[in-house]
Amino acid sequence: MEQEDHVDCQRVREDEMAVAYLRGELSEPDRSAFEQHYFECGDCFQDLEVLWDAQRVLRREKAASGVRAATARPAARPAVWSWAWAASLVLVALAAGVVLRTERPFPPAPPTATAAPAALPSGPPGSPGRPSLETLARVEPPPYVSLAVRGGDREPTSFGRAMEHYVRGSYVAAAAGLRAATREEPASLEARFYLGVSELLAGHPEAAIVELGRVSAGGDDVYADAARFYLAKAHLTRRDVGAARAELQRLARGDGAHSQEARRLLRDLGTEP
Amino acid sequence: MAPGDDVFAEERDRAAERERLKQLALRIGTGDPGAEAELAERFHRRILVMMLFRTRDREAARDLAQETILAVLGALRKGQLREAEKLPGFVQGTARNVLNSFFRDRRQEPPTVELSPEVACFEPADELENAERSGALREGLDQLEPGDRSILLLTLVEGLKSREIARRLSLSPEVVRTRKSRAVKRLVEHVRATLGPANALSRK
Repeated sequence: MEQEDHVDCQRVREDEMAVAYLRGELSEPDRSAFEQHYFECGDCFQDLEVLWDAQRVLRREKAASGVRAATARPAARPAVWSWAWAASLVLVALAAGVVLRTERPFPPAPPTATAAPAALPSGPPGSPGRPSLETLARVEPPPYVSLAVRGGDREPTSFGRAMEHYVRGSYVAAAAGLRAATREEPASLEARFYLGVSELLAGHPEAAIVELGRVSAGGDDVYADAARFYLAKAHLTRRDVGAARAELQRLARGDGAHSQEARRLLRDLGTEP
Repeated sequence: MAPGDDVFAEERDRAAERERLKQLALRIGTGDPGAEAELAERFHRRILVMMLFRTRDREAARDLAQETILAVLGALRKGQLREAEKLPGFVQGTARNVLNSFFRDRRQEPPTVELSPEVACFEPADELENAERSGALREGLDQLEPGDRSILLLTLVEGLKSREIARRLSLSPEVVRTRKSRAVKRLVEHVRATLGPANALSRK
């Protein structure tokens, strides 16, 4: 029989045992000793329940904010870049002598929930009336908003430095930095998610598939859906329509942040969910 | 109140609690149905939480919690608990036996397999969901300082340890631990103040 260490309130606090229990990180003797303790101690059981509730509430809130961010705003970009893009569009339009009706640099915002799906001609992507596979594979970078923390000047972390590249649109540099960040913090799904996205935006869909696949398999509802969506985009980039459909169909069956866009993509691919 | 008074008060509370548990066990031994309900009320949530974390199966957890309560009551009615003040340990030990039996019957590994962090973050069962408590908790979270809230998020949602959070936020690990524990304390206090101590978190 395993020897159980003694656990008291002080050790619970000092070793952060409630959090470790929630995360499934305690060894069996510690887990059992902690359980024995919370059977006796009302205060520690309260803390555990509050932490569990807080975990659930924060995860749902983060998922909801991710939905809003991913469907409402493009990623932050320097003003100079935006103006340069606008200027180039004007020049192209003037040179061609046509009205500006070309595609925007990123796909348009997804339709509202009440918008009726437009009927599309039948046929594979690229056939008359259907967007091309390249258009469907196009990716809008998910925005990144750093956490607001009180305090003065902070030394940026590996993750923070990498995300500065990401926000500037330097995805190769972002991917290199995020790879280092995931080595430092292997459990951070946030770093791995943005690594996958950065690899995709840097033109490395194979690497993106590996990283996003790990995130989508992680079971974390905050990132899993978003990872699956960009995974589908990575498959489309590689022209692997079957694999993309599989991911999109999983998304389309749910009611998450990317479900509606997944249904639209499936329609465009010529496959109803 | 002098600092030492708190310590004495806590010790008095613990002694009174031990005596209450002893009496509870003895009353069950005499067939007091009110005592049986009190035992179920006190331990059912704890057993359910333990079973959920161990099995990751809501249906199984419900059944095993019920089975444990029945086994404890049966043993107490027969006077099988020699030291009545050790009732919590007896209940937890019984729960472990029920759980081991469950795993044996299912020919699974005993519950010594490490849970992966993502698997451990499952949603609680319906019995543990409480809209009123969740509402109070949201209010409590909104009242936290943004930095404390961020630390909680990085801990509970991102799964980062204090030293990792400290590195990310350029704080010392000790400061992170202090702020985390302050956040938890404030949340608990807010939930208690909102719902009242009797039914807030099954403290009994």
